[in-house]
Amino acid sequence: MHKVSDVKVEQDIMRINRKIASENRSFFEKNGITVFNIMGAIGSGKTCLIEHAIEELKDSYSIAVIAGDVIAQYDSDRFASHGVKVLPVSTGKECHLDAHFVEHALEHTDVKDIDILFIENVGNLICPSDFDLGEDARVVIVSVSEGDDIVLKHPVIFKLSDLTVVNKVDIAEHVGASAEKMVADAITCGCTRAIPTSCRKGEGLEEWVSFIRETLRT
Amino acid sequence: MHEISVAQTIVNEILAEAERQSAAKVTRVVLELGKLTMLNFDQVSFWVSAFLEGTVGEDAEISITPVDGSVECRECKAISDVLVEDDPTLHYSVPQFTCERCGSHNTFICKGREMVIKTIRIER
Ligand SMILES: Nc1nc2c(ncn2[C@@H]2O[C@H](COP(=O)(O)OP(=O)(O)OP(=O)(O)O)[C@@H](O)[C@H]2O)c(=O)[nH]1
Ligand SMILES: [Mg+2]
Ligand SMILES: [Zn+2]
Repeated sequence: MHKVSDVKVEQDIMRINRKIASENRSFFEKNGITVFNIMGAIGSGKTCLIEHAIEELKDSYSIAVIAGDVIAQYDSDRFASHGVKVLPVSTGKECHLDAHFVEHALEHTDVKDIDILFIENVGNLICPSDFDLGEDARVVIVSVSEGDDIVLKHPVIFKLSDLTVVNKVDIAEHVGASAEKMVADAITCGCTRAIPTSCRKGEGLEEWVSFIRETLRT
Repeated sequence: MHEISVAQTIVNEILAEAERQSAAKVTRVVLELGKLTMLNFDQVSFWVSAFLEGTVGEDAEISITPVDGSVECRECKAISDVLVEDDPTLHYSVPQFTCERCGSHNTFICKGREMVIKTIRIER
């Protein structure tokens, strides 16, 4: 006869990510770095919005960027052209960054003088929301061209974010989407702050940069 | 979309535990998954079975217990269930993260994001 028994395992499979994320967080705190996890849809304008913030802030702060992408080279080159430190992370098949990617990207970098770290996550509204990276603030960026139902289709990532940016409002009319609806939906989903922006026309960009300034460690 | 890597992690843990227990077979795996994770439970179940093929766990039944979501209010500290409202126009359910006591939106998710291996049933 076989001996059959139920064995308690009680293993949380996210514990490793949580442990590394909390190590990252202590590391950032110790070094006085404020970290933004920039999530959002593919092509919604994540890189453009970060580039704008870099231009506004780089005279006052030392800035670094982690460019997480399936192939990180393209966005990395764009960031590097602004004269900031870029740490590329090619995720390969992975659809999101996890805490270990971030830890790894920091390993070979001198971070002592860095004040602000932007982490551009992989374009995806689903997977990144399950992975804490050790950031201070989470931002989710969507644009009107995803259609104005996109927020309600992905409520959890909006709930988990400190700021929602609804970008490309300059073309809202052309794609038949209501930016106001998307902003309101983000609030309905439990995100406490949501702003409409246009990288083309400049709308809302001041508030975007204010959000970053308000989040900085003093 | 990260079901594959989650399933791989789950299987690694199951096989490590089976080895610690000197199990000849693993016949059942009980998982607890939060409804607010972005996991598709059928996909997790499928990939766990797939990765267990050719191991001591290849015949294991995969049982998933869904965990409801809860939020804690930052204003009044009350804990509320995350209500799921059906939206007839979208044919989709929109979770409501509002505080049931004071109506505040200033809440954080305190339950519903679990990914836990609870038990495995083994034969020695
Ligand atoms: N009309 C309009 N186009 C924009 C705006 N912001 C960005 N774009 C354009 O949208 C495209 C994608 O912008 P990116 O900043 O590369 O978007 P991303 O989210 O970083 O893209 P991935 O990293 O590939 O997911 C580019 O062609 C931008 O010029 C905007 O406010 N209005
Ligand atoms: Mg980009
Ligand atoms: Zn309350």
